[in-house]
Amino acid sequence: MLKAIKLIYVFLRRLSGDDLYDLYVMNHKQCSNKHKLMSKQQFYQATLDKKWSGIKRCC
Amino acid sequence: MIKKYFKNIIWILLALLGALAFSTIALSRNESINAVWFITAAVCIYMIAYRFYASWIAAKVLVIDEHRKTPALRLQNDKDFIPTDKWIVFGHHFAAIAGPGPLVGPTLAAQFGYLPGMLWILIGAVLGGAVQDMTTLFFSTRRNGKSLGQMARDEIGVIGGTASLIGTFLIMVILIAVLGLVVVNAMKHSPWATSTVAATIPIAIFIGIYLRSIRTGRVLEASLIGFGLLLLAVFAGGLIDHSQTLRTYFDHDSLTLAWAIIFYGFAAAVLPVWLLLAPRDYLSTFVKLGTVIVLAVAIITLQPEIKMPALTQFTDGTGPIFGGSLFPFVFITIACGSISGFHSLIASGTTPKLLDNEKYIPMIGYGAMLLESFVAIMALIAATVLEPGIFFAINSPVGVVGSEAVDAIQKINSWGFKVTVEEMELLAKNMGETSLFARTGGAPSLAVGMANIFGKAFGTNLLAMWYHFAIMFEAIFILTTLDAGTRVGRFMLQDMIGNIYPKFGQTSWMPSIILSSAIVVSCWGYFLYIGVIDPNGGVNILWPLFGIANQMLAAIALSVGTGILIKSNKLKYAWVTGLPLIWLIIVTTTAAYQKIFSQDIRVGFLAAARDLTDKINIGLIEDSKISITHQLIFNQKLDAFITLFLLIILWTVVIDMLRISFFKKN
Repeated sequence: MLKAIKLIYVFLRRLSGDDLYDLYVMNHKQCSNKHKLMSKQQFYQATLDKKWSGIKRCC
Repeated sequence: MIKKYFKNIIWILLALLGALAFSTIALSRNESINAVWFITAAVCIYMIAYRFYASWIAAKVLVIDEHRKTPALRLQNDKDFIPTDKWIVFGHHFAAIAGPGPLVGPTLAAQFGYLPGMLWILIGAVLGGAVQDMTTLFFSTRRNGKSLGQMARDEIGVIGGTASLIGTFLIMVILIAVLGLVVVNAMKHSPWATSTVAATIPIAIFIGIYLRSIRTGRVLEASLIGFGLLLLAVFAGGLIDHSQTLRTYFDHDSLTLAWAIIFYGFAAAVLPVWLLLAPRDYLSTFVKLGTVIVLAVAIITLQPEIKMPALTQFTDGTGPIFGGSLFPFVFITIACGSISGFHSLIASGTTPKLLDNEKYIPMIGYGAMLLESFVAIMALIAATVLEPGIFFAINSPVGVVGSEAVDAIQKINSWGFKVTVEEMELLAKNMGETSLFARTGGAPSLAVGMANIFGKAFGTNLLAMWYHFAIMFEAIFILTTLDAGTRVGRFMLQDMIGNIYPKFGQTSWMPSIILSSAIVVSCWGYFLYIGVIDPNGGVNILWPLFGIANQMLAAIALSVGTGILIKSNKLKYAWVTGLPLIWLIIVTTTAAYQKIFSQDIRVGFLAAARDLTDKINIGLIEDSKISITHQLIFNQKLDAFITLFLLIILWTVVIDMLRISFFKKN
């Protein structure tokens, strides 16, 4: 039961974008990216700028 | 072997059940029908279409290759291209494509009866909309996540690319105007609705500050807090409505509310994204998904009876909500939910950059559209469980039924739909409103339908709360679309003018931000203003115009798909995208022609302009209304011009696609 709740929680975090920064840090390490790791706030701002610069919501 | 036979038997039984449900709906006349048949027919058709048609398209037409690396894997970075779990991509894709359209369109189209809308939502989705979304997603994935505009430019040429750009801008303008009108009509002279919708702004701002400065990026907890505050706002709205002093601050006519929305739209486009748009979007996605799930569960458990007849007399084009006959207008009115060109903008450019395997394209492209279609079916059910008399009393504009309750009731009774003034007064009282007459736009009648369903499921003593919750639910993501659309329009304009004056193209340059936002807001604000002053309710003009523009964009997306199939030597499969394309060309051309040239003043723009001019000339218009009438005449002519323009774009793209596909084969 606890495992199922944890799974749902992980899924909801992923779906809502709650864990985006954690994923970014993980990706950053994996890609051995040359860019400097962004702070949480910088990353949040960058995510929003990227998300809302195009058509992201429909009719 | 036995397992295989067992599987086949299951699919055969499913097909038989679907056929039974479908024929029950189609053949039922003059007797009430249970909504369960709608759900059964829809689920069976979706499952069969997904299992067989989508799989066949994936295997034979597109030849999806699960071993081929997707752009998300090949071009992986920590910005755009991020391989993402299929369910997460599905969730993002669905949240992006499902806006207010599938709720409003089916509600308006219910004036023809439940059958035409029902058939078009199901058939249109499985053969048209889902195919468009899936093929666009596939072609964009194979082109490193290119947008529809880029693909149109590459595959058809500069004309196709430019047409899709102009088409997108026009849709944006008309869509925002009509959605603004829907919200205005839901809020006019309703302190409860207005205060609740107004409260969503400070709530969104608080959540924006929370997400940026207090608990950065904690979307889940912020959404939960925001949802709690939204519920509180609905409750507080009731208290405001009951306070004689407070309610006066929120009791406004349509024009005042329209100006408020125009001002709000400008502010939202200029303010930083983190402050208003982003938090509102998180809240609206949360509320949208939650409410749709609860509505589905309530409909399935309650199994309400459909009160609307299968077909009404309004199939002849005399409908009060919008003028125009069943063909082609049901196909224009219901776009989102059946086939929507707007989806192709999401299916290209955004979603392909997250896909980690091509094999998920049917699930995400085809499957998400089926789910959106299911939302449209639920909206149709929520609208048609209302007594038809009540449905038409709420949705008929003053220009058709008159401004007095007695006149409106007489008119509606003369159509053969029973409803009394007392019934409408009681309904309004139960919903916490002073009046529900002439609340055009679809949102209030949908909210009444939803409140009835929720009330039966969770308690009828909270009907007013449910009604205003439903209004808030619709308003919150209508306003998100309004914010996001204005911002996208601003970017497009900055980009276009930036080609001439490069400094204007700098998206962060304040004079450019203010000027471009003001231009975009003025464009949709104009149509919203006209919609509000139009005694026929504005929806009669704006929704078909939006439908034509949206279907035109779908035709561009399908033209791109058909062109690619022909050029890839898959002519024998080109009908997969070609047939829905031909249907859309027929529908859009007929609707556009009728909207421009029909002699019926409730359908033809030019006829309506002539009629108003004649009325001024023979002195039928009061002096005080002559100025407004001139504005309406100008608007009718402008709408005729826009429709003609859309038609020319459509035919130019289609002819260009055929020319390039057959005569310039690579």
